[in-house]
Amino acid sequence: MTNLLKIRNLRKSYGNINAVDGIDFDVREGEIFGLLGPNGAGKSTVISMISTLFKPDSGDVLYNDKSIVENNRFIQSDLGIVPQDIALYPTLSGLQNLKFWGRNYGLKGRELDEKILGVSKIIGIEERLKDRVDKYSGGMKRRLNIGVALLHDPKILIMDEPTVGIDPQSRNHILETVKDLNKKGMTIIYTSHYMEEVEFLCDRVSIMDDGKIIATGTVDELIEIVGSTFNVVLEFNIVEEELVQMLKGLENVQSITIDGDSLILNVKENGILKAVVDKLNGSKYHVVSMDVEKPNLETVFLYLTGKALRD
Amino acid sequence: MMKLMNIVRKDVRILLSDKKMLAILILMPIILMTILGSGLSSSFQSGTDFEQFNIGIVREYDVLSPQEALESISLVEGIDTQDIDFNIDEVIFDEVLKSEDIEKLFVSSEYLSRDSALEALENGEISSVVIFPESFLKDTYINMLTPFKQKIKIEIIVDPNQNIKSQIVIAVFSGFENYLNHMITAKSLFTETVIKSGMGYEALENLDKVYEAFEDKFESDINISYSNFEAKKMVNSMEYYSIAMLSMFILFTGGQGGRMMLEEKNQYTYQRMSVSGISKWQIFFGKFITVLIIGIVQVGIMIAYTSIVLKVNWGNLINVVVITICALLAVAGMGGMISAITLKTGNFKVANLMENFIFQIMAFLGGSFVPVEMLPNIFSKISYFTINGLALKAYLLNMQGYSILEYRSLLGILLGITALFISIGIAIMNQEKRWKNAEHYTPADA
Ligand SMILES: Nc1ncnc2c1ncn2[C@@H]1O[C@H](COP(=O)(O)OP(=O)(O)OP(=O)(O)O)[C@@H](O)[C@H]1O
Ligand SMILES: [Mg+2]
Repeated sequence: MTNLLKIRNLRKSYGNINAVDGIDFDVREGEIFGLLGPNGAGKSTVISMISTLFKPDSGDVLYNDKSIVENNRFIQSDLGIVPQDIALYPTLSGLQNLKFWGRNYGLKGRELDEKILGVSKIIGIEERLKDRVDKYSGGMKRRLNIGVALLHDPKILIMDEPTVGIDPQSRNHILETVKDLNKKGMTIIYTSHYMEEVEFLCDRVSIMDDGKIIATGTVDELIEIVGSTFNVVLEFNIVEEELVQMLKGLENVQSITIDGDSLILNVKENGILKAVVDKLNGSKYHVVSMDVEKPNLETVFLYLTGKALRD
Repeated sequence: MMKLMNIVRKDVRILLSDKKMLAILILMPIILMTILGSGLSSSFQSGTDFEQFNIGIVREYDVLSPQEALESISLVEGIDTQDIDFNIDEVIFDEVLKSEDIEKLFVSSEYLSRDSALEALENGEISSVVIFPESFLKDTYINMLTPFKQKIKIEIIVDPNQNIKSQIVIAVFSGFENYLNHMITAKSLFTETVIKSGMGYEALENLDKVYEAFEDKFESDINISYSNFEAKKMVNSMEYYSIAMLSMFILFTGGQGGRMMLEEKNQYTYQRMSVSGISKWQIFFGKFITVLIIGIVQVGIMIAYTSIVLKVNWGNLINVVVITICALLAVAGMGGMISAITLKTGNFKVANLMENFIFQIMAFLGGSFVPVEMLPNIFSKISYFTINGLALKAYLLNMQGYSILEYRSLLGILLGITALFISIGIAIMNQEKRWKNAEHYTPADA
């Protein structure tokens, strides 16, 4: 597979915030590429530079080996972009929105009508096409926001957190749509801070934190980073710094993350509960409940950053 | 080009989908025209301070005492002219025209000849000329003291641009008719009406009606003829306010340019257009053209309404179209400039400032609330710096029947304003690097 997009040492800062702090990755033709990271990691900033909305402070984005920083026309017509924020005209109907954006990409007449018909089937809003967008539900707006990006059959579709704030049904619909589009040959860049979505969809993933990419690979490859470790979530009667200090010394515990009344212990081997109970014997702390999580991208993120992916 | 049309079509649709805005842009001016024009709006106009103005008087007769006057025509015996200590000339010049009430309105100065007075009128030193004919005195005495009746003509020549002042002068001098016929007090009913009314615009309107009523009531022997300078049509208040409201409300249409631009940015459609390859110029001129189109619709509706319902005669329609285009270009240029500033500052401050403050000032200075001629002279000069003021003047002149050549400079200034605003807009857009416009908002996350 050829590398359709090459991101090279890309940087962008806002004042003294290094939103994107020198990142590199490649996107291969025909894949779904995931960009996973917590709020503020810099995902949208990366997307904005690839979609030619901002110019990077330094670094380059190559599309088919041509710099789009030098000439943004190389990519614009091949690109479909689903922005994180809904970018539609609320007082116009869904149909009027689709027509406007379609014409923007040079579609007209019957071709435009056919595309609109096709897209509204994909996003499932045929019945509400004539209604004003501000009368749509959140999920329908999200879907139309995606539909607009599909009209001109883009080679690459960039989706920035397309499922934020919507019901599970719309969400599943969107995820299925993404899979289908990819099957038809569309290359997709998908950003999210939901690791389940990324695990479900993506062929390869870059994990981003604090403006940097901390790991890239397939989901399986990434999980291998943490090896045989897994997360044990222990709920306590109280959680205090003293408790964390007591448990830190335990053998096999690689990291401890506080999560409310619970501690997430990243451990190498099982049998940790016995060690914990022994250690706390005679203290005021005791375990209320316990849960063991198989390693997943969350574990990987925790392992690499010491932070939970979601707050 | 196709993309530009697409943007314009979309912008026009968006404006048309905003019912509230449409009401402000189209319904409100129509309502105001109707109300103000019918003189129903007392709170809007009353108590306006009135600037005293100058008129010229020409006495074409020789000043004679009644005795001399009557002697000179060697009247039949039977009338004891010795008992008459009544001097009509003194009454007019010393009592009436020098009275405090009259002087609140206008100051009369005497000119030696009709020509010198007309010259002063043309130079704008005075706003009307009142000419008492050669036979005035003689005929008046004849009318007063003898059974004979002579037709007397007081000629009033007014500056058609000084509509209200003209009406005052006409009203006051027609008061003489009453005075001379019925020997009531020197203070004519008319002057009293004028003073009591506190110079509200609607009162002046009424004067006109009172004047007409008097003409009917007293079969007049003294015929006050009035014509205006160059024999142009007088504009009534309905016509004036139709023009005034139209010129004011097109300003608000210009303000929409800024509003739409910021909306594009806040709802991220500006950014989306940018990444789809639309240049900022297409977006900028899209707003310009949209304002132009909405303005044409707005003006078209207003002119149709005022012509059909309010019976306003706008004058030569081709000229109306030309004036409208010049005014709307200036308005759209302003709209483009506001939208560029709005985009740059990223908030509604400029657009709001324009709408709530600058437009009001422009509306006032341009004469949309009160005719500038009722304000101190300086305002009349300032009104040349306002789009609405220029448009108003041009529409007025056209309505009065002037040829377009006589107000081409007004149209020229409007086109100059257009060029200036567009250049400022372009300069601001030019500085604006596209990627800086795209503000990032952290999503309202679930
Ligand atoms: N216009 C801006 N001005 C200043 N700082 C900004 C701006 N846009 C983004 N940032 C900052 O840059 C960093 C990266 O933001 P970015 O939106 O790229 O993150 P993200 O990964 O997309 O987050 P999220 O999941 O919340 O969308 C954050 O610290 C953010 O506060
Ligand atoms: Mg984001």
